[in-house]
Amino acid sequence: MNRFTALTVLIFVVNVLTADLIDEAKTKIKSGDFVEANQYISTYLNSNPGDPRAYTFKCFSDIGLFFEDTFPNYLIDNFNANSSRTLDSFDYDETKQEIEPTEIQLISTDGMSSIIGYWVHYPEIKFPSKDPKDSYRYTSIFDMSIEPVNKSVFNLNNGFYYPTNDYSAISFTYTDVNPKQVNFEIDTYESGIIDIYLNGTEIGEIYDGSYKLYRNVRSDMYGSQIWGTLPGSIPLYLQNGDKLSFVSVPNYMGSSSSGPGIRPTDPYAFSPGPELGIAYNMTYPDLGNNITIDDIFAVFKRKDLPVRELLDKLISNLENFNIGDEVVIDSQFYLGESAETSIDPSTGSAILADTYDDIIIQYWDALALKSILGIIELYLSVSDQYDIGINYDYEELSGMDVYDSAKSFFSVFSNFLEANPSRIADQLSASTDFESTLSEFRYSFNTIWSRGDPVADNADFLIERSEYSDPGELADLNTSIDSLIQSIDGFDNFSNLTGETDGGFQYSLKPFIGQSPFALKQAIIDSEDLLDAEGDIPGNRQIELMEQYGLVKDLLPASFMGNVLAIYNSNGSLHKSILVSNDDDFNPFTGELDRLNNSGTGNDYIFGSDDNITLSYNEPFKGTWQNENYMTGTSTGTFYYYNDLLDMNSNGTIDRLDISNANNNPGGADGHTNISYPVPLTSNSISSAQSLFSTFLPDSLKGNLLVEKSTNSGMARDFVFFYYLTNSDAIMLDSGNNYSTHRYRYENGRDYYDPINNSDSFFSFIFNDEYSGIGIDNMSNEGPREFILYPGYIDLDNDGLADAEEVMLEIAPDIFTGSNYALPTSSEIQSAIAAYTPTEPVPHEEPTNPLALLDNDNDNMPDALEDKFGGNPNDGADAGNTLSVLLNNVYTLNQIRDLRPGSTMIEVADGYAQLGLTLQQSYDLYEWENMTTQVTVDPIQADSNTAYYRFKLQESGD
Amino acid sequence: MIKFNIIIIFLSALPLLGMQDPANQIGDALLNTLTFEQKVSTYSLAKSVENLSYTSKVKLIFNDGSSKYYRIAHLLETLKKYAPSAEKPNKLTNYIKFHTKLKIKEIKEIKLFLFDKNGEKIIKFESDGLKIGKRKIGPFEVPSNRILIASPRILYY
Repeated sequence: MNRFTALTVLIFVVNVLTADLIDEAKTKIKSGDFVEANQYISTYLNSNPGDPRAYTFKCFSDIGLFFEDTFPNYLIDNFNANSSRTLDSFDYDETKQEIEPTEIQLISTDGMSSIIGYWVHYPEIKFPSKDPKDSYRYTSIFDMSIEPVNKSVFNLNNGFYYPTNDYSAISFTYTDVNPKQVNFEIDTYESGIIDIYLNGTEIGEIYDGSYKLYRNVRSDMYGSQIWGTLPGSIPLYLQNGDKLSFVSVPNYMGSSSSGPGIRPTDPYAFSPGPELGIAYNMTYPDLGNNITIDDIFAVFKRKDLPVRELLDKLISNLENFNIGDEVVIDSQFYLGESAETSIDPSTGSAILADTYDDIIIQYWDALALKSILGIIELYLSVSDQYDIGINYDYEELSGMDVYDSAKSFFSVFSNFLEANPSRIADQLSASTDFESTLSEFRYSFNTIWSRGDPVADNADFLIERSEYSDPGELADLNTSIDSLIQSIDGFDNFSNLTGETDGGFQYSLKPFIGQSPFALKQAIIDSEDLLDAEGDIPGNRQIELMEQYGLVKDLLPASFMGNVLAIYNSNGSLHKSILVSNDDDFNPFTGELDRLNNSGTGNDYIFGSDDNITLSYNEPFKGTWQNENYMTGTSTGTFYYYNDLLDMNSNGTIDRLDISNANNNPGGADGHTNISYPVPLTSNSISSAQSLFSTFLPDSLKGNLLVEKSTNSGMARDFVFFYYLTNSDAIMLDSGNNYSTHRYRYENGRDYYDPINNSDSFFSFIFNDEYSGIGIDNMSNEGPREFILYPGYIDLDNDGLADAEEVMLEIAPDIFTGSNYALPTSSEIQSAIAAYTPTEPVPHEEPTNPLALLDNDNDNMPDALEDKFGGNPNDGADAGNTLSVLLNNVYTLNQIRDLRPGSTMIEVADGYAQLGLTLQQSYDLYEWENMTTQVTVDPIQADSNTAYYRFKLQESGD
Repeated sequence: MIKFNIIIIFLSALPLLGMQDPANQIGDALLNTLTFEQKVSTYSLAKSVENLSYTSKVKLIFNDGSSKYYRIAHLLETLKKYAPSAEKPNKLTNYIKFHTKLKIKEIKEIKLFLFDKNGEKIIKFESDGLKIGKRKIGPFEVPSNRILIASPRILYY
């Protein structure tokens, strides 16, 4: 044998011997000894680095180590988990004998001493469960904390404790040293429902004339429950320190007058006696001190902590696969050593292990798994960018319901959902990691799709193309993956991702996986700012916010209300021009059109009642429609939408009026007709018209005075002033001297003047120039009204008082000219503005005094007072409410003395009050002399509830 | 007295006849068109599909020709009051049990007929195929501890 041959033999022998190490490792994995298995694999890899077979089984042992060692020890070291019980709970040794719970006979108290059932429990575990044996593993990990909850009391009557209302509770703490059966006598001559809690967990109930126990018990008749009749006794088995609570539930008494009564047969086992009005019905794991919610979530998502660490290991193992590698996992390994040890998916019979094929893992399978794990890890890493700095503390968590808004919550938990700079590393690489992972995902699954069957009959690849798949499914999958890749740094159609027809909008993942974490906290605050009076975010605001954050774009409007929809057939002919004046229940994300899909409140439906129409964004002001009619099939076409105040048919009248008049339905009612467009509609033509229309639209109405007046000469004096005090409060004064305040919302040239009760009602402005135009109230049949809009500090009637001030004083500024009460012209307004010299502070500007109290709504009532005395710091029209409370309902101590005519007050000191009265007289109100000797009530002892006395002088006629 | 007895007999027979007695009414209008026995069998089949596979939807084809996909969980919830009457194990379970004992890994184009007490066909259960130990995820299959039931359909007579 030459040296070369000897070396070859040696290598062969080493490989054969080390190959056995993998078989040994497999045996250890199956027996649950993952530490040993990992050692075998490590030894093998020393001689066979990069062997994919070893790394395949290392995946199994790494997962086993995670569950048996890493994760339980992390819980022990960081979350106060019970050491021995936790390690036992996570021990995956299949051959290990399960710990059996202790069973105690529960004996009847009726003199027959029969066995009612059994108390099934683990003496060291306080937490009761339905099936203690099945739940032992997880219920034994942590000790449980329980908390008292204050409720109404139980009253003692004839030896029994009775609930006093639907929310009563009574608790007993078992203080005997030794555990024993304890019975509670129940008086149920009256009906009632009471829940029974042991150590904070509900274990049973009293229901009228019966009781039921359903935790920690077993009976021959009812399985894991014990049922019994009442009046009689409920048997329980208690240990030292156990806390037992009885809690009445709503309507607990039913039709009875007092409900069931309760008393322990051995009251001396509960010292010092019952706690009346206390329920122990809050139970949670004791995770130790100084634990935060962030600490808990971190276990699952933070880099280098157990879960992420496992993911990294698995990904690293799978990276050892190369093209051409093939690892076989035999069915005996993954199903069982012997036949008939396999699954039982409810058939009741075991399935033979060799019914299954061996599993072959190739490079493509490993790559697919690796990419899936990579996507999971990416999701965890991105979600870990935010702080969740809330203490895992009962007091803190149970006090959360005091916050009525996200902003008030953030004001206390200022770091909550703030991006944490220390974890930015994960975020920095998120987009590149995601793109490479998706590319691997696509590459692997495309190869798997076209991969043939394995040569061996009794083997399958780990991932195979399903013969039940459709040919187009791979193309759909690729489209979805391409869409995700496109969205990493840009936008793509959402329909490409889902494969479903939708509203044609585009989405982007960039805000989430870009270089900086998504401003989640600010987005929540911004969303809350958009809430309307009913607590909803208006659809258009929601879209604007999502667009602002870069999540979506190219969405159709949240509603077509206030628009004309011009529907074209596929041959280019106009089907209908629809005036949408009421809510259309449109969903711009799905494209589903609800009301206009059918015969709604007017004639503004597109097709008939058997249709199902979806609208999809195409370009600004243009989209495509698709109609599904079960009789005629699918039809498609295009549509345009534009502001109904535009004059797209160029006939000198706004199209809203054209359509309304054509339907003989003036004003704001729905309708449709085919108005003829001399120049075909295009996105550009609508965009140009809208742009001209929007030229003079103000961004805000705040601080402006609107004067609107009927164009009907017969109603010449019919004018109305609106002063827009804030961005949500306005004052109205009309020609009839009617004065009122109201809420409003301004948006894109529309004054929604009743946003709380009727969000569909609005006044639309059509500006001819910066200060004047015509407007239309969509809820009125009156037709257009002319208006002027100018800053409220201007004094157009030259009476020395700003016009807005006059309106607030309920004085109509005398700005009209001629018998026709003509409005001032725009040039007159412009001249007045040019001539204006702000010698006086601008009305209702923000206070410039740095020491001024915060007054958010500028109503001169500080926010703090409004908060305390019934006002709303965001309502600029309610200062009077708070003032009224302050003036009429709030008293100083001195004022209290004089609450009644002729009264005075005597304070109690050390439990005694000195009451004395002397009648005096005066001739000049300066000099006083006694008329009588003092009438003394001296001393009187005040009872515990009395803090003051007073005299009342009888008035004439009293 | 005779009249009274006839009424009692008629009322007792209503569920068997599948008449729309109030106790047989459920919230879903399409499912409400089924007879009592069809509802019981549908529950039973849905329960088997849930236990045996990861299939989440089944297509119901009604005797007027209309059809609709239902989530298995929705069917079980809607028809849960028929659970006590459901056959255990049902024909589908027994069918799979028989084939697994024969070590058959795949069965193509399943058609199972269910009959009422008079021997009339009330339901046909169809599937493109069954695969033991597989699960379909998108267009791919992976090993599983359950059974792949491809495109399950229930046709009512």
